[in-house]
Amino acid sequence: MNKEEHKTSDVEEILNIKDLVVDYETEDGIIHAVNGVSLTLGKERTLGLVGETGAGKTTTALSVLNLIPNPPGVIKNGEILLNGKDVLKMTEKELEAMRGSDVAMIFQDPMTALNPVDTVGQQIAETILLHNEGISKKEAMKRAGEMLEVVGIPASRASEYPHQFSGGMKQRVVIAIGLSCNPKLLIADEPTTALDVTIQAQILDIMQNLKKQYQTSMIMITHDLGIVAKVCDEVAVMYAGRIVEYGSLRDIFKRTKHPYTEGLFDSLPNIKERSARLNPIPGLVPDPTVVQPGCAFAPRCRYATEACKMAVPELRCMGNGHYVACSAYDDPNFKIRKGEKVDG
Amino acid sequence: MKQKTHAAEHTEEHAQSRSMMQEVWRRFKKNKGAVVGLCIFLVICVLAISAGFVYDYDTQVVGGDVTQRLQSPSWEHPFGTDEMGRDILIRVIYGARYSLSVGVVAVAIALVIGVSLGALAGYVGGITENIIMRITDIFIAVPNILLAIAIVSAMGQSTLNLMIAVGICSSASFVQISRAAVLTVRNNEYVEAARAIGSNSFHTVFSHILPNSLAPIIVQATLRVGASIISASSLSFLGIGVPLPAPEWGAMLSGGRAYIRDYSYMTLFPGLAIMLTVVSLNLVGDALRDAIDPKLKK
Amino acid sequence: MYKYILKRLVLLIPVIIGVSLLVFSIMDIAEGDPVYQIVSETASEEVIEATREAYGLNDPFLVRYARYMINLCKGSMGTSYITKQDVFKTYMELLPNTVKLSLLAVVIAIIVSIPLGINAAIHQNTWADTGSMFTSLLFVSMPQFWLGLLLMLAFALKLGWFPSGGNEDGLKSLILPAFTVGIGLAALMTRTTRSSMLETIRQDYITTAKAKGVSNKNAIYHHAFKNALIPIVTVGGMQLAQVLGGSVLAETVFSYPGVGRLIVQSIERRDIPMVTGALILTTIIVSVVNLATDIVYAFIDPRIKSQYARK
Repeated sequence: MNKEEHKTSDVEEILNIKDLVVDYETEDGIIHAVNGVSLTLGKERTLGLVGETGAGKTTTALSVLNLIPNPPGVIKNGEILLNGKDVLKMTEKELEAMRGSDVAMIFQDPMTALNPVDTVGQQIAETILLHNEGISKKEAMKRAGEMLEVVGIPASRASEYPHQFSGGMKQRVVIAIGLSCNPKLLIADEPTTALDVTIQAQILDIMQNLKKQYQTSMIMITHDLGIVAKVCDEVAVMYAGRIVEYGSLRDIFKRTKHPYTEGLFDSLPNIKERSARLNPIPGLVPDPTVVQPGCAFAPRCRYATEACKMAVPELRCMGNGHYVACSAYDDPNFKIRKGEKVDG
Repeated sequence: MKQKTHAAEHTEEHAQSRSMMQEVWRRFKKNKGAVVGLCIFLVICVLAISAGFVYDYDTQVVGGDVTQRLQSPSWEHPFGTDEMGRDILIRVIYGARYSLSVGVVAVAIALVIGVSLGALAGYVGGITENIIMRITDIFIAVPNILLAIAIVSAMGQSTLNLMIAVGICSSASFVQISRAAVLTVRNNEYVEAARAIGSNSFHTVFSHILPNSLAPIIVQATLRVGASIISASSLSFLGIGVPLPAPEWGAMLSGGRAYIRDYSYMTLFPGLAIMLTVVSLNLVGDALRDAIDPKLKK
Repeated sequence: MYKYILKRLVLLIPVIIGVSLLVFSIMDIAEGDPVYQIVSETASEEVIEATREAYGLNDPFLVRYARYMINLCKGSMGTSYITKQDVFKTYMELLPNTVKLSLLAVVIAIIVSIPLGINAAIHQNTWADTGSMFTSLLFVSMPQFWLGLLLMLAFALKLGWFPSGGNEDGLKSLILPAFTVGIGLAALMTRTTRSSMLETIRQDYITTAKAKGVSNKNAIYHHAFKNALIPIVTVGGMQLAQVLGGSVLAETVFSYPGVGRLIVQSIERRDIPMVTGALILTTIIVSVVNLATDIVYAFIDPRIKSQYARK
């Protein structure tokens, strides 16, 4: 029950990202996608990575696999320690051995994530063949069929092609590929965004059950706070390539500190107060090609002062593994107004 | 009320297309190859137009000085002279008039036939579409060059017939492209809106659908001018294109072929002229396509 | 699948009828009054009329066309005005030469274009890419007959490695015409391969494959190429079809006795039955090759295969 008492440092660390900086160098300028992200993830824990589109969530996730498309993507700085070994310093051979076996990824759009000209069985078996030396093709296909059964698809459909499956079924296949080599870390990049609402719950259930069964750690990338509440132990809120708040699920939901996190909650429809208008965060995500001297959220922040525009706030500890990057807390009496109705 | 929204949509649509054109031009300018191609093409156009004023057709272009025959390139005749003592440089420059006009007129013919049939097929659908597309299939099934040969030999050898033949051969691709373009635009909301307020089909096609499906047609047209120049020069090379003694590049190459062993320069320059013209058009066409659809360039 | 092939073969019939009707009517216009090909121009009215009646020249166009097609099915397409040879037989004697030329050209094109195109795509915007794109742009923009003349000049007249024409030297005399056709084709297919590969290596399933631990090389050559092959085969097949009919120029430049040169020579001699017959036969062959391409296409792309398997 006391999830939040479990400090991350107590459990064995599986992933430790230190000061990651990723740029995309395009014709139209440099896009600063990730600007110094640091994260840790404990064994068998689930971390939620929350933020708007363009906040750098997917880029962070792809960096863990060292799969940033290059060009245009360049990892400028940082360390990504996976079981203590820096992914960014691995050789191509080590990376290939790591991908799919230590870390697996589930992509956002199951419609495009599967190769249209191979059968789903072949695609699952490929991972098994790659990471199990000496296994025969036949054996791999048999295990691929078993993996399909695990995600609730009859093994007999292994010989079918992706276009013969529905979206939800395809995502099950993608999950089967991801889990086929029993990875230590599973990264799920908005795994349910492209699916119907009714299918979303099914997929989440499958993922949670399997995560328990396979004792896998997970990073769940999403912009849906409902999913976060359902599956995550810790939450990192990202804004404009930075983590602005990090803490346990309870810290984030009950003891919200950052104005942006507050804004995310405020913009949710409230069933108890249906008369109240939604309170969207005003303004737009900043242009990622422009480097701002101050806090990236300041232009949209209702607490912003002149000081916010001067320097980028550092993450500060608010106790018990709860961190926030907001200079308003220089004032010890500062409190955000979460849940209050805003006039105008 | 409905009229008003329609008008608003209309202006918005125009504003959109204007800014899109600006964006396309901005991306086009960034492409060095495209700018070089455009410059080369403009120079060739200027040469072609001015050649008519600078050179006398009867004495300098088709009439030669027999005492000067088969001279290798020199300061006096940079590209040398041919078997009749005509300056090849003058003939190559004058030849641009034929190649460019055949290329452009052939594509214009293809555009008129292809776009009207394609737009009709895409807009009307049903049996009309089926008939048009099946006929198009037939034209595509016949190899282009053979079809052009057949048409020219049926109608008789003349520059105009060459244009028509090459134009007819190119029109099938415009039918397909404009039909596809119309189909994608047809179902857009503003077209439905125009239909809902009762604007008639003809008006709908010409004021709403075509302007919005222009991009792929323009790209294809640019590339097709180059292809048509090659087709036309091929037919001339085979002796059924622009009639002699006009200095058409393909015909010049055909004439030079007899002297290839000893006077190879005669087969060099007209071919280079064709290649340069077509390269410039392809550079422009490719850049236009990339500028309109920047997905591939990133 | 067999059903699909059968269905496509049936669908081919109207195309062949349409194509032959098109060619037949074009050549019908070209012919002028064909009666003078049979009787002399000074013949009396009665003789002309009798000949017309005897040869069925007074019949309506469609009747004449139908008669022509029925004869075609029997392998008879009339005799040449000039050589007095059977058109069908003459064509079939020359066809193997053109088929050899076209196949060799396509093999050259595939061997050159696929590695070049893939290499350009995976090294996009580097010198390797720019260089091969510029080279292929030059060759795409070059008229085939001019390339043929240049090859002849360099390799036949100056270096003397290959004969400058005819087909007396077997494979040796096939090389230059085949390269003339093949180089232009290779340039075109390099561009297709590159853009097709660029499209597929950006697809999500390539990232999926890499995330599974598939090596870069394997992701490109297995996952991406198998998908990129679909448009490449389409263009390749279309080109093979065009080459079969369009090797006219290479055949003319090298005086290579193929069906293309037969058509050009027959046009020069106003040998109408020969031209009509050769054009119709060529387009039938082209249509069959196009069909074969579509069938190969269905084998590569399971989406199309299952679409037809269900029907």
